[in-house]
Amino acid sequence: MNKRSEPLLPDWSATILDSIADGVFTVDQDFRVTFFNQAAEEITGIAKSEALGRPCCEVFRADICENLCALKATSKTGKPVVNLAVNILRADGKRLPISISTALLKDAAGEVIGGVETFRDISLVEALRKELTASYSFADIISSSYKMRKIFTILPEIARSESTVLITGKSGTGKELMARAIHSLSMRKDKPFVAVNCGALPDSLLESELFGHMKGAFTGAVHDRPGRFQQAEGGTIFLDEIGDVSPALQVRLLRVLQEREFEPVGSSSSTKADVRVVCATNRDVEALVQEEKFRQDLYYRVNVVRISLPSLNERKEDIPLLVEHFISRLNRLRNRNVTGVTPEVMAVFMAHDWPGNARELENAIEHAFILCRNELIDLYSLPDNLQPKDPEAPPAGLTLAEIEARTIYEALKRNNGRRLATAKELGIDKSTLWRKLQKLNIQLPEEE
Amino acid sequence: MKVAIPVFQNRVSPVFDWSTRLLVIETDQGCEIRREELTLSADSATSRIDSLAGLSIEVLLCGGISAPLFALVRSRGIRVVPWISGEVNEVIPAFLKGKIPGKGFYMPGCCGKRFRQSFIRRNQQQRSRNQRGPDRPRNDT
Repeated sequence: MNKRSEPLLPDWSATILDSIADGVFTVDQDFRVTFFNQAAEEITGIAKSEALGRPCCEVFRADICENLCALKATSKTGKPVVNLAVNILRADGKRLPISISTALLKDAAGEVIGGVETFRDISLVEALRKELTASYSFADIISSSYKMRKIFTILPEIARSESTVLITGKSGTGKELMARAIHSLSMRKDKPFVAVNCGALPDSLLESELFGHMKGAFTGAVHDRPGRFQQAEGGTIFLDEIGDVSPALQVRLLRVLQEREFEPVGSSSSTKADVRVVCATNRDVEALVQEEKFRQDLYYRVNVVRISLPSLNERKEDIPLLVEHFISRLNRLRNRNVTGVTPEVMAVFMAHDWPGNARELENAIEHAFILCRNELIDLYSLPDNLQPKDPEAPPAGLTLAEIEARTIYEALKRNNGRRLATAKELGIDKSTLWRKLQKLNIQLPEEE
Repeated sequence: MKVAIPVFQNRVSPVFDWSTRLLVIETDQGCEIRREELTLSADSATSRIDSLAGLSIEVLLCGGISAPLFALVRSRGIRVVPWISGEVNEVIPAFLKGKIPGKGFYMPGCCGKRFRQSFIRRNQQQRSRNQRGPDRPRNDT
């Protein structure tokens, strides 16, 4: 099964290559590994002895191996690939981002004898970048779904533009997270990000909250107070639940978006607003416009760039990732060591509709943390609405003997009347099963 | 029984997450009776797993598989035998004879019973006793 190739490089070259931090490996013309340096062993977690002679795609397990192999491209074109970011799969099932470069390997006569690839682990760089740019970069939006990947592809361009953005999506889909990601990828990332929930405040308070007020503007206004637009100066303001804003306030928002200025409550002079506006709503804005509950001119001002976030139901492949993420976070916060969920719990999670989306999932995990006493979250730790309804549960009012008889009968049915298999499933001896069959007068199920 | 094997150039594909071709083997009493090669959807992990479930796959014999995808496939009641490598025409008979997982068919860095048990345990292998039944995956090691 494994071919063992002769070492390709003289010993001194191997010694030098073993001392560098980048992984280096070479392949022959069949793309089987012929050299594997120490850093390659450390980054991949694969010993040289297991890598030599194996197809390089089985050693690296990269996302480009099947269709976009960099070594094959270099072999075909003769041109090196430089600093290509790829993901490889480690033996623990985790993906590792690395940066690779390739070149042709030639012998002394200039004949191509294979290829050489260098690579480095960039996961630390990725983690540091995440810390430095903000807590919420788009890398913190946990998703591998196709729909979200399409959004991620255009997100940097959206962020770099100064356009107003409207984010739509059901409650709990991560609209604020997306807004923060846009801010952290924009030129305004070093300036404030200010979030306002427009649906949480009555109109009179919201106006003052957004635009500020002057001393004496109303009862209780004992001094000047800057509004959120002023606090966000130079940065980004996030107007959540924009669909809930009253018609009167919609007019004022329209003016801010059109003229880039506003008046604090009680003031007659305007203040300039150098603020990037990101809005969000979980309502059907188009329907609100149709019903004349939302101004059409304001709609066109906020709907310059639209991002529609899928519900969790539409990206169920993200559920295991989100579960892992929430568990890791709660482990850190609660100093626990929960390792995951049982397959039964995962099945329940995958079958559930999640009307509350990621937030509901997070709450379910948090609930389970309180009840869970083991390393794995099991069904009994889940909230009531996620507990599976067992159609085979015995009805109330049966005696213990009747419940026992029912259990044995159901096990016999599952095993097609085979007593040895039934006894094994129930965890009892065959002779014990025979005695119970006699005592409880259980008839063998008819064969189907 | 239906067994699915993601394939690449006549070998088990290195990573199920990123593979594009799927070989489906139908067996009866330990012998192969039919095989068919299909294209795997590249759209999403969910559609990939829906394809397996739609084909009534009972066993996924694969190379590398990420932890989340492993959990997803298992949650659909499909037995997963991961980290296998080799020529498809050698892997299939070996599997039908019960020699997989086994020496000579492991991916680099994934050898040995201890590794496999550790991977599966880390990625939620535990099943409650109450869930055992005739279709319980056997020997997921």
